[in-house]
Amino acid sequence: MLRILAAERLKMKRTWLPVLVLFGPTGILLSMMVDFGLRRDFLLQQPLDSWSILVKEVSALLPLTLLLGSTLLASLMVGAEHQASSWKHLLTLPLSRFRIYLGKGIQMTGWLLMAGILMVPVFAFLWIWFEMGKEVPWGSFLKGGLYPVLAVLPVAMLQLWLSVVIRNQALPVFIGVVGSLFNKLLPAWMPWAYPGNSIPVQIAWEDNNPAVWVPAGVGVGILLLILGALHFSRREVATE
Amino acid sequence: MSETLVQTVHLTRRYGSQAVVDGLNLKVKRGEVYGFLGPNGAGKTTTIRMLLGLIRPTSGEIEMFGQPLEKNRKQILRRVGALVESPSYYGHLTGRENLEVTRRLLGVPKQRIDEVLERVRLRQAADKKVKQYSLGMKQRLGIALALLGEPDLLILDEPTNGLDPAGIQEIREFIVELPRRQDVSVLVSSHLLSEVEQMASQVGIIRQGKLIFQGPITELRKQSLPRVRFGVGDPVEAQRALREQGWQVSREEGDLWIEGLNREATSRVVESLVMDRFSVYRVEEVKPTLEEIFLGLTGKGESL
Repeated sequence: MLRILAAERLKMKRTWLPVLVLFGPTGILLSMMVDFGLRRDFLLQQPLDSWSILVKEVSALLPLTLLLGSTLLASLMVGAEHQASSWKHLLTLPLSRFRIYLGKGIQMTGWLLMAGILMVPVFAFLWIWFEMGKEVPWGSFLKGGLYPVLAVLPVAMLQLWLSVVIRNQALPVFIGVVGSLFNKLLPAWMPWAYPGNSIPVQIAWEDNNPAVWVPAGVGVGILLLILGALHFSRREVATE
Repeated sequence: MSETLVQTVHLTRRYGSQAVVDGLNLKVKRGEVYGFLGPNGAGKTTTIRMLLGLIRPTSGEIEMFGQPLEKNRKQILRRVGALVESPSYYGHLTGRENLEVTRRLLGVPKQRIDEVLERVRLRQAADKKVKQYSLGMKQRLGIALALLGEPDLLILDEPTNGLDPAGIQEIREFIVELPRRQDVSVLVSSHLLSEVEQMASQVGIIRQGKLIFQGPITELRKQSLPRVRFGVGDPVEAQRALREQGWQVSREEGDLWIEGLNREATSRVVESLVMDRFSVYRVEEVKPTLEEIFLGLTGKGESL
């Protein structure tokens, strides 16, 4: 399994993937700089603590960014295999197909977690720059970054499977984008709605409940990864 | 008797009601270069994909190294290197990095990379991105990938497809050397007999999913009868005269042809021509080329 992950890492050399992972948190940072820069006093006068105000503002963008990011991540990682027509090579190696697929899912989760962790300095920068309080709540920052990431896993694993099954990446990307854009309109049990309902503060909209949707995200994510891997190990490689 | 590396029993693969591969009994032995020959669409690639476990047979069995493929896929594939159709490569990585990806997956020592680069003579281009490689270099990289795990059996599907004559020659020489120098046996598919003729010791010819010949290439040559060509004056009249005596004579481009004549019969034909006062200026035995035998076996209408 470690060998598969080591190989996966090398495959992503010189691709846009690390840029993409940096791009999400950076984009959020810049938008928030504008947001708080223009109306810091208005925002901070709300009858809430500073952390709740900050995370609420950020959650206007973070779930959407993660949903779109997962879609692109999956397409980028798997598209490289389609483009290299390397399935037929990979699958003639003495490796378990189940693990090859698992390797993709684990690597994808790794990149998403990295994006989540990168949110910690983003939160910290905004907190200090806009003087939101004396104590810096690092623990809350970590939750604020990681909860939505854990909640996005089902969509990420779904996109992974779609990108593997559908050779032309335009279709999975289209499905992912549509799901992401309408995430707020979907019922709470739909995976696209999980990240937006995993904000770690006791406020905001009624469906927000990280205690439910974070574990649900992890559970459904693992389930979808395993189902995808099972399907992959039974699939025939006839054309690529 | 040498070890049998690949043996299929009634191997069949259907797509819908059509059998693309139909009751194939292949046998590849250690130390051979086995040429798997057939027109495009005859079922070669489907067969090879089944041998590699990429697709499942509809019925029939595959044994490799004496073990059933279905049960021992991983152990078997560890001893097999493969290049299926076009090579698989990550264009944004260098040749060396491409090999490193597969090396990590196989868990073989790092020095293998330099060894295989040397073998396919890609050392100088090893640190160039593969998307800048020529087709021949990509194909060589594909072979290097197949050799990385030190296989006992190399399965190459149309390895010379799309190469220029120099590239074809190069790959061909390389393949011929494998059993001798490395004790690697080879199963190589092609739609060109002339190519297989120069590489293979054994051939299997497949047509419409069925194996129509399997054996040494010398055996294939024996299967067809030589024809004798007679260059005569006034061939129309001469043909008529010979036919009256019961010879099966055909006329092509002003020459007369008779199939399957031995020496004695040939002299009798000449004698009767001379007695009838036809001038005989050439008598020649013409052996069909392997290409013609192949065409005869696979049917002339099919594309080659």
